[in-house]
Amino acid sequence: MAWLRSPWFCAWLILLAFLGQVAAAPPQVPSPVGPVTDLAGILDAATRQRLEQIILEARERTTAEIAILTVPSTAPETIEEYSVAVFDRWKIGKSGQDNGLLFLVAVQDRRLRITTGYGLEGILPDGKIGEIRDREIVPRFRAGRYAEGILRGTEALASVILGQGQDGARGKPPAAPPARHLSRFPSRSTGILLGIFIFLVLFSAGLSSVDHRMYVRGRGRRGRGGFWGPFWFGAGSGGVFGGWSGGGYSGWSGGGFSSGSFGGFGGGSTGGGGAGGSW
Amino acid sequence: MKPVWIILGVLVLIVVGVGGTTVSKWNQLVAMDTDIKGKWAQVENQLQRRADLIPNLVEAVKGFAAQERTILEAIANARAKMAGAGSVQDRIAGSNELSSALARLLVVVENYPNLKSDATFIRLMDELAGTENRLAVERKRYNDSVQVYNVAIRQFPGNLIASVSGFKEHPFFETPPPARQVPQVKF
Repeated sequence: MAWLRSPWFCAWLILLAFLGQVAAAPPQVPSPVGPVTDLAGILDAATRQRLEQIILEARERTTAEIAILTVPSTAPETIEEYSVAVFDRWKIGKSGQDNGLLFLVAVQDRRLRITTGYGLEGILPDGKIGEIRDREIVPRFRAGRYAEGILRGTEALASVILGQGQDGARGKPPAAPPARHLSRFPSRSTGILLGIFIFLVLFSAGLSSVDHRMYVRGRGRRGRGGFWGPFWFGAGSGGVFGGWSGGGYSGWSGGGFSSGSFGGFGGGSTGGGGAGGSW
Repeated sequence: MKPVWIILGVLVLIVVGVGGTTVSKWNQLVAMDTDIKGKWAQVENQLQRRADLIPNLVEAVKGFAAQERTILEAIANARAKMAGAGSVQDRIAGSNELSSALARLLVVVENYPNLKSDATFIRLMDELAGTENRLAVERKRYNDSVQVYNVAIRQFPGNLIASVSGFKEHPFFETPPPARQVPQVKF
């Protein structure tokens, strides 16, 4: 049974568990540097500051979170898929209330999309967002005035959020609560831990019937090997089964990002609602 | 250490191991199955939302393009069929039919610039596009859950538990690839 102890076997088990996780990789999206992330470089400092002011006010008065992201292009994904991927990773809006909004501009693609969480859909239905898009944003974008377009658009969106007051922006809870993504099922690890624990109890029960000197560290490789071998087998089989069942789109969801002064968003999600367009 | 203790310990370990794995696998399958039902409920929300938008859309189009009777009837029929569909598979088939009817409508609308610039129609199209996107997102989440579950009940040891307890595979929400239509130019 010496092979059970070999580092290659353990590495193989770990690799097997890991492979199960990498089933479907979500699109690569950037990390936020703040409420306004300007990767396309179209915002000047004054506009950015003004935007952050507006966003902060909206957040403080209604807990709704607005995020602005500009990128050169969203290829190879469509702007709709990309927006949802960003929303899922950044988790804009308060957790449980889902009152987040993402204003995404893909400059080279000449496309924009405003995506809302379920909590904001009551006061900002798709039609209203489309109205703001047509009135404030697209005319300015067509004239090449991107910063002004984003500013006026954000002002209009924020005024709707604020105008409805605190209750409006908190939103009604969605009709059917969005099911949470698949995550680790607790019963798997509980079952394994239970099995290991019982085994350990039995093993030490068996050992206690012999001389106590066996507990001394310098017992020898033989004792260690016998102890660790079955443990790896239990953990390995749990890892293999767990790896396959836990894999999938949401395997990597969550996890905070640590970026200097920006504390991150509130944990909200989206159903994909909102409006977009091109210019 | 007497040999009988080793044998006993190994036997208990095997029983506990098998029992523990079975119980935890069963719980996993139950949790996955319930999760899929929850995700399907979200898909149903969006299907309902789309169905609710259709009458308004049809009215708006009739105001400008009443002569496009075939396509309007096709949409009304598809919507009625969806309302009557019961099983998940039927809902999926009905939804795909409605989607293709709506796509044909969009092609037709291109011929009516007055309709395209009508404010009400633009709002409705925004709502419809938003709903289609929501449907796509919920569909993807549903399909992701179904994939994990279907794999789990076919792999060992899930397949043993599933065959005993009646866990069945769930259908994927598959959409046919968009038909490549050459737009007909009418003079």
